[in-house]
Amino acid sequence: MFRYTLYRLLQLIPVLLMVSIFVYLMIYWLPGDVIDALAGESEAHDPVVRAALEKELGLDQPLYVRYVKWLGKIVLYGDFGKSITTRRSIGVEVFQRIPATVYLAVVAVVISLIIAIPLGTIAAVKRRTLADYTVMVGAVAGLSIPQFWFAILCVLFFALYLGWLPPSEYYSPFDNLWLGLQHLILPASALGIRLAAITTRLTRSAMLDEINKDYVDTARSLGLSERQVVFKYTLRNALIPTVTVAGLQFGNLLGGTVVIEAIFAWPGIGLTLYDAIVSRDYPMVQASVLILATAFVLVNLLVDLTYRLLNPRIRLP
Amino acid sequence: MSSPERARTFEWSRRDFLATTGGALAGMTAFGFAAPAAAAKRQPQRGGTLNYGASGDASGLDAHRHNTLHTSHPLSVMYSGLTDIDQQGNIVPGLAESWEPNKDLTAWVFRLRKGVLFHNGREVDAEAVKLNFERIKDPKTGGDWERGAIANIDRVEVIDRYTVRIHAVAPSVTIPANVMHYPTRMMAPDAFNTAAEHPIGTGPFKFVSWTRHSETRMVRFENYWETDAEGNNLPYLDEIVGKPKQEPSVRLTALRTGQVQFINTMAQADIDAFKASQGAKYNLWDWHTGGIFVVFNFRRGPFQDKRLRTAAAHAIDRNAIHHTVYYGHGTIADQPYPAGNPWHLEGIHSLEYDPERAKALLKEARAIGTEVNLLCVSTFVEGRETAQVVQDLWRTVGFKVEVNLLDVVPWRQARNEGAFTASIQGNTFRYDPDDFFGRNLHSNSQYAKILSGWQNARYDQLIDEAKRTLDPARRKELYTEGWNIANAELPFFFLHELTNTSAADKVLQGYQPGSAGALAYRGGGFRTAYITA
Repeated sequence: MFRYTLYRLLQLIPVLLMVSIFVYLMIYWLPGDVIDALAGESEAHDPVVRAALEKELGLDQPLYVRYVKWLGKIVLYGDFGKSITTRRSIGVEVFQRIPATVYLAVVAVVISLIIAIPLGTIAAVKRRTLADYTVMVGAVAGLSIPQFWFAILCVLFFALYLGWLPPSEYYSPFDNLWLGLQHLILPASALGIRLAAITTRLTRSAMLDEINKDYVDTARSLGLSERQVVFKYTLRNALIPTVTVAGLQFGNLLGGTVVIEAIFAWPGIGLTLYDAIVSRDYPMVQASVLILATAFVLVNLLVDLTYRLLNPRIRLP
Repeated sequence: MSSPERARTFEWSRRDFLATTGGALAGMTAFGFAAPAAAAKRQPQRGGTLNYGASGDASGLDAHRHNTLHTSHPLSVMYSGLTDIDQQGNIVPGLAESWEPNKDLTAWVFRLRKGVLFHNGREVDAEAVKLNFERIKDPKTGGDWERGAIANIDRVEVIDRYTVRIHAVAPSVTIPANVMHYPTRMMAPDAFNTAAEHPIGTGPFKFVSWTRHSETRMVRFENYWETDAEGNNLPYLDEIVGKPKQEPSVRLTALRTGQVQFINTMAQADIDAFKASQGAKYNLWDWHTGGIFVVFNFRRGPFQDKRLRTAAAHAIDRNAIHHTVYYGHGTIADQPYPAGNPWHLEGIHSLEYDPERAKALLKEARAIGTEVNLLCVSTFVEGRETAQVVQDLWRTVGFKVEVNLLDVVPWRQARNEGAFTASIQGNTFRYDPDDFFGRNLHSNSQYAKILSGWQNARYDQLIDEAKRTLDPARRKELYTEGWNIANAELPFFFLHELTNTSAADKVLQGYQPGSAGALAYRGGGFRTAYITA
């Protein structure tokens, strides 16, 4: 397993290199550039202003020179540079925000699994019963409801009408655990319930696949109880695709919680990345994507390692 | 619009105007202290933290580089300018106690208030003022909005420690308005290099921390110079915590659940229901934000034909926009300044809704089915909703309309390149009318060139004359004639007033927004606000 882990970590290097080139070119090809964003209303076509800003930001140099310099600073000094928009250190900005996003994403995925695994299992075991139909209708509804609408509805219902939870804001659990949890429940649930809709359907279909396999009949013929068959054998095998998807969902959440961050004033990386794209703050976009890509690859490595814990027969390459 | 606390009194006298030009300095002090006197009667309490649910957040901390909207961004209350505004929006003394122009209005002398400190203890002196203007004017550092506001200014000359002479590019009466704290904010020169991390201003509150999209924290500046009527130092509040809440229903919920005590705007759709159901528990203020209008592209495309512009204007039912987009709030407008404002123009001739006339004009021009690319920026909520109504109205008379909704950068690029037929545009309130009539339509203005690209020698002449005319009545005559030319030629077609509504829990006392929504102004706003127990 050590060799496999090392091999996967080494794979990171070409992956991140390709990601960095791709992101660099994408932001370059987008319509409008950072000078349009900074020079603004009336001066974007003023050659004096353009030239001054291009020189200030190093944009007067060829694209490949800028790329090599940027990459060199990261590799040699760990320096991601400064945001063109805020003029603050990108490293500080991004690494301040990633914990909030990871915190939100982890809890959202845990909530989704807490909902999805029992419901998906029940739906599979009680196939074509009222319980199965109810779970499936709920899952389809969860997939169909727009996330922003569901999140706002949660705020109105739980914060305004019931008064149980605060409507928005972020508190670090390390500063105040109780406040941190109170403020986490709504955004994490708004994310997690939607994720659960996907994983519930997936768990159900994986369970149905497993239930029909020969080893299940063998287990039953040996006199094992239905509970033992389901929880000791079938579910463990059925969880492999669920874990795969949960890992991918977690990776997606690292950069994909923009709407939830905007609604709940959550200081995560998603909204920062979105703002950076809109304002063509290319050093911020590049650094954020690079860091998120690294995290995504690492999460998938963890998922692969988890397979072996779920099923010891699986051999890693 | 019927709130008794509506902050919308726009009465203005000649004496008020003279204050803006430095001609009647004795009268100005009275303006500044009128509101604190009222605050004193309310027996303000010192201390307390105001949690402010803001609709927006600054994009950065450097106040010379980042537009810090004085109607929404919490950070705006950290700053002062050479001049200030009062509740009605008149230009009154700020860091400068007085000012006066030379005879030909090409240079203005500003005398600074002595003993005013930046938040780091450095005194505000002439050298600091000069360095601030130089930094804003430098394209490498100054933001386009900030730099544009002082485009009239050529250079700043230090006369002595507390006196500066500002040299104008051309004769101009607008300089006192241009150096007001929105957007010409003074920062400590010895902290320019750290402004992106920890800005140092001169305003009533000083910076503590900022987490973008999450929290802005400021505390009372104990050495702030402004006092109330009894000579007590302002501000009263100990602390302001800005909490950006972009989504209107979440912002309103935060107010109703006590998470914040004040929000600067609410959705148009929520206003009437909130007033009816919660009016007893909360104070509400409606305020003028600006206006919204259609821009016709004179540089290229079908609207170079006046018959088509006239047809398009006749096809617009402003009443439909008033009810559909604004839920009956604000007023239908044919000009940028609303009724009651000193700069509201009388005798304006604007085309009325007449779809039959529009159809006839299109038929006459053999232009039925003309394709229109209606440009709009996606972040302007009222703009995109107005664009949908205009699209429908224009389709009805025979235009073929596509709404081109773009993000800010591609939208700016499309405007710069003239890649649109018409555009839905908004304007924010301008304290001097030249900032609207000159900036938007004068043929020398870079901004006007990327909007309609219209050029009219008579209009330019009128605006130039207004810019060097001290008498406000004469200025209004000149703007009236100019605006009527614009209404006949139709580079713009004005549609509606933009308004906003602020709300606060009644624990917040001593607060009233400026007439155009300013969070803080001379003797009012957050400077005199306090929290009751």
